[in-house]
Amino acid sequence: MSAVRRLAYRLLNSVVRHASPDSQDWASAMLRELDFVEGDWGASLWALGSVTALFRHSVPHRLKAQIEKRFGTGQERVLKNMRKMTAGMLWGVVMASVVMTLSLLSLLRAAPVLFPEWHVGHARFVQWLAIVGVPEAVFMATAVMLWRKKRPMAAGILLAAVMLMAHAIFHMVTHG
Amino acid sequence: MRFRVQLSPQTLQVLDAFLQNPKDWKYGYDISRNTGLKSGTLYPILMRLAERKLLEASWETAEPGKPPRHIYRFTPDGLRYAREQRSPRVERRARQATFVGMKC
Repeated sequence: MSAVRRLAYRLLNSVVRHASPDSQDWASAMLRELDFVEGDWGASLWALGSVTALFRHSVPHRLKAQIEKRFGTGQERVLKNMRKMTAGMLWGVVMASVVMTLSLLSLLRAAPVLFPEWHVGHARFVQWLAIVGVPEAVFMATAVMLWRKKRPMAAGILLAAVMLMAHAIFHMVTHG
Repeated sequence: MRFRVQLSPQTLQVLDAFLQNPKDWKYGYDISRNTGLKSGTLYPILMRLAERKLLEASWETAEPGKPPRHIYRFTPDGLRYAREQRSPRVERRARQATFVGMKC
């Protein structure tokens, strides 16, 4: 057996071993057919195609199984839970946006009054603190607090935190 | 009708391959050679047909000491369905749909 064919066989064999129970028969069938494929490159193409086919078959099945495991069976129940989760996440994002706006307005207005000496020398620092520092700290603390009891909302807040951080990094990279 | 969507040309090729000798069992690699379809295209089609009970699959142990091979053939429902799909009336309708789709 040539090195190319051996490699193709190993690749497909490893996928067969990890295939989900419902695709096990198909995976073994594809592996067995590999013995009859003519040419080494033909064999490697067969193996690659088989791996793709197995992934295309397994991924939706596994996803469905995971959703059913998490939310239970029954399409209506699944949809209801997904709606609930989406609403929770949206609430999280809305709350995070409100917190950020409040932080921005209050800190930018309060800083010159509370710390007049900061206004000139540390204007940029105060801005970053108001736009990124305080909101991020609040988001993280809130997400940690809510994680056990209201996970979708916590996930929404974390999503907002990640988006804000990504935006800040992008701004720093492009504007210096 | 089991499939609501129009069948892809590849699926029709597979149906044709099975229709040549509908009672015979066929190997995956032989179907691949006859149709020119790669394994990544062929097997998802075979899986879907088997899931819809249009195709039956079995293991053939031809040579002792060697692992069995997976073989396939139409179920009675599958055969009826394939003949229906390949009837001139259905083909004409499919061609018309494609033509209208191209014009739009």
